[in-house]
Amino acid sequence: MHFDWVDRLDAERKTDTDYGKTGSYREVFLRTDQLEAAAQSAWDEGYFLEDVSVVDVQEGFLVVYHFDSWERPGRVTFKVLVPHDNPRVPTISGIHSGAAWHERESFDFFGVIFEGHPDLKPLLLPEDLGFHPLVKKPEDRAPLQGLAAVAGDSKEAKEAKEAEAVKAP
Amino acid sequence: MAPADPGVVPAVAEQTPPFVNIRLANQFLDVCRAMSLWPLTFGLACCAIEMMAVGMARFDISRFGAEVFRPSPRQSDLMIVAGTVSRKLAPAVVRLYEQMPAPKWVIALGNCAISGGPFYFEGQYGIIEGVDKIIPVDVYVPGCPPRPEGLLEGLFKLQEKITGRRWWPRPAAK
Amino acid sequence: MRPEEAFRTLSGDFYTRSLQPGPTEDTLILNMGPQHPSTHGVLRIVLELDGEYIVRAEPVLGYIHRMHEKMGEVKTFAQYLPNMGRVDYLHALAWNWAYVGAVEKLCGIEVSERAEYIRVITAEMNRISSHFVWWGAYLLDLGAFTPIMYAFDDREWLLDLLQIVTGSRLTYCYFRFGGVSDDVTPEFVEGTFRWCERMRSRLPMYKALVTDNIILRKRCEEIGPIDLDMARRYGATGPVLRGSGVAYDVRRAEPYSVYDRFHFEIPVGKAGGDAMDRYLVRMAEMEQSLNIIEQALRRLPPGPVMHEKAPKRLKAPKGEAYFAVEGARGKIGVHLVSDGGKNPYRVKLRAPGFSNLSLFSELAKGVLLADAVSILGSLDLVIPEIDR
Repeated sequence: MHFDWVDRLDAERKTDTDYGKTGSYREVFLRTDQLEAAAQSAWDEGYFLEDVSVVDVQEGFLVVYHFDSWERPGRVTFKVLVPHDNPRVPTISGIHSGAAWHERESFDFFGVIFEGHPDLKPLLLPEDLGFHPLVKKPEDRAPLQGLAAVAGDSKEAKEAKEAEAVKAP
Repeated sequence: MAPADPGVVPAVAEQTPPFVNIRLANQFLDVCRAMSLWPLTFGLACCAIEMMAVGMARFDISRFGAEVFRPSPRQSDLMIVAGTVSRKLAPAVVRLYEQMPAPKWVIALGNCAISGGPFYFEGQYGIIEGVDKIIPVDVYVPGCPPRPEGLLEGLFKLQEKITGRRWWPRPAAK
Repeated sequence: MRPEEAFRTLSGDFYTRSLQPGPTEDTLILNMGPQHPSTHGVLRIVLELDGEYIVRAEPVLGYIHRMHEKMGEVKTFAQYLPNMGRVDYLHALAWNWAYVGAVEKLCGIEVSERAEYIRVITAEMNRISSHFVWWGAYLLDLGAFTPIMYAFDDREWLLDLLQIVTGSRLTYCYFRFGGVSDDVTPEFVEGTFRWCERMRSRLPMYKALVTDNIILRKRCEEIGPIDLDMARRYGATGPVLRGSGVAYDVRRAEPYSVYDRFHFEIPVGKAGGDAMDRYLVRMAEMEQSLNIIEQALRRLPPGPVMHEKAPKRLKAPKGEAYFAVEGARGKIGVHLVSDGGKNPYRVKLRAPGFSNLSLFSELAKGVLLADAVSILGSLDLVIPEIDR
């Protein structure tokens, strides 16, 4: 449709996803250093941030950003994978102000640290809770491959290799 | 009161007896109090909407004297805990209860206020399983949410607890 | 003692202490909530006031955090259905729909046609009942005691009808994977037609009584203008966005179910929409919902309410799905990730109120305290949806 801007993004991998199955038209895997530019492109193209969520997988925390647009509706998903022991992602709250709260919530539940966030303190949880509730036990985590239903990408080995490639340095 | 939840300090529950303690006068005053309870607006979640509905035209709690919902605990004598009490809110609940002047009563409305309700699961970290862990409760009204008639019956039960008898006819079974 | 020292020794808690001293020495830190007469729920706003003007406003959330997303991982797909009625209890059927739609998308389950129409009818009726509560509560905040009586009375008629089919008054758990749980009865269909007629005669009365009232107009016009830039930065949706002139409605933008078969308009306000625009948008939406309900009732197809191929035992494949619906407050989204097990792997609930409230701290700068109450009411917040 009108997703040329996605093709122009500087990203690790961009895929067409089946809207009827996943609810998203494009899925973009980004490194942490590519995230801010991509968020800026989304803003310039007239998109708004729907939400920021985190999925805890074996390879790390997968931070998922959903964007949609008023004039040209069609969801675009950005995904950033960060390791468990160093979950740092740059904040996009300078561009999309609503991300400030979404990122605080992700920090609350998973402990993902958003660098440059103006005020990363607990939003939904009591300040003295002491743990991040949605982080899974290591034995309960699933591998990333296959969790993100990527149309046209049938080889599991290929996905595993690409999951390795997008891990933050 | 149920065994205390270690996360929150429960409220001070003693109410000192009245200064003038004449039995007949107390009985008369109890009837006056029961017929004119002033609830605190303490709607927390879904049950709050049923509490609002009970104050409105169809169910009309004002027939039974309790339509004066006061926002300040200093001016109310009935706390209807309508909704889930989360761990973050629990100190505020205790503080509000302690700010109410005696004699005061508490109705736990809905399953969440009674026992944590549908939000109890093993390993839950966020709610108090039942408001009676932190404040003393007089009447429990089960339901999720209970019908407004349920809250009215809970009010009648409380009036029965205060005065010793039920004042309103029982609805006929169909 | 200098004012800064006094500030530091004042008792407070984590949220008030983390506010740095403001630019002038004469500001007052006031807590609005978590228990306050406004019936939006358990919201706490830490305000820094200069007299009556708000210098800074910071909402503090989490007082009704009920662990919905954690429960999504602990419960099975079907056991999670009752949770959805309690996220936003005023438009419970929309949350039902968002979750059921996400599961149906993930698992490839089709919905029977009759069930689609029933879903539309009941969800639109639920939207009207949600707008009634909003309207009554908003006017109660502004000081009017009569409209909430009328609103709840009309709403009780509506709840009687919905109770016939769903069994509940408030926290519905009516939708199932592949359809709905019970069929509508002729009593419901007749009653709803009569109720729609009655509603159409009531709406002009509300307009004459309330909407044209000079006091309401003075308290809502020019209050809390949201320009398009702010709305997009914060991801505002629903009447908050449509009040600012953008005709973005999920029922048209990402058509789901059978909404593309009905004629309905999308009411919008003017650019730089203020509280009055949002108010008018919601009142107009109630009328549009009536149109949809009547059209759907007339064309209700016969058939089963659960699709024949709907599985008795749900087997979710690996993958993810995102399903969005238009709730009374805005765009509700459920992002469901499954690893093939019995329970969902991750359920992310996208609450419209979360994004709508996040613009409050910017919107309330320099506003009178009483106008801030009006702004909060016009945003139509249900805090359990924001806290989840």
